[in-house]
Amino acid sequence: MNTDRALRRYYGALKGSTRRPVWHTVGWVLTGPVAVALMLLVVAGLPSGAGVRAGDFLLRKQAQMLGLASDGKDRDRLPSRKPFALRGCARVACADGRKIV
Amino acid sequence: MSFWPFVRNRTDDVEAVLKEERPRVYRLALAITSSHDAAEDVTQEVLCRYVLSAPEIDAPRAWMRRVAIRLARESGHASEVQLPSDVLQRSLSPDEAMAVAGALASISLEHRTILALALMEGLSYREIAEALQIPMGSVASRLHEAKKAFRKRWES
Repeated sequence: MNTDRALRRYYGALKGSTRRPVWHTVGWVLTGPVAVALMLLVVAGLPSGAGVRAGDFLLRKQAQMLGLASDGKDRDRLPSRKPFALRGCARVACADGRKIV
Repeated sequence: MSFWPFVRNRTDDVEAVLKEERPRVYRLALAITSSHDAAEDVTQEVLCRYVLSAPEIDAPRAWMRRVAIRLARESGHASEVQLPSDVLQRSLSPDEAMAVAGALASISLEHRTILALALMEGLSYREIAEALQIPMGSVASRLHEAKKAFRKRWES
């Protein structure tokens, strides 16, 4: 065996550097491309309305939890489906003691 | 640790140095002596000496290295190669590690020391010269001789 390699391995073991299996390296190498692919998926999914729908769902749930909406199905009656508008509307409705939907 | 966590005192500093440097001192001693017991003894002695004279030491790491080398050399050759189990577990092949340790144990202390400083600790020529207290020009030639001596034992 190569002398330098034997010495390197021996001193590496003394130094505490642990052996790493191949999949460890492969995993780290793949981390970059996977992260980029996920970002692309997210970016590509935004125009299709997925983000808007998710936001809508959360808002309806929030409204239900606040007691401002019965089932969330009447969202068309909301003045706006945008989060800040709903929050503002909910505040006004609470102050007036009314339900917004 | 003092009562006020943001106020550090001398004891904290010494403890921090001991904690950080202990593994370094131990592995250097192990590389020179090839014996776990001898390396433990050297480490203990180095750390005790450091605690006693810590206020006078500006560069603890270099100081400990010099003392560890001197003490490890004084302890001489171990009767047999004795590597701790964690080192064997970390090496790709325990048999190979023992063979390398055996070959290293059969070369001179000077050669073993300079190989450990250069290949394990990754020191520069200047740092090696300071640690061994030799001229910087001698480091390269001594390292070359050490590798040659090891290769001769390893290949035989």
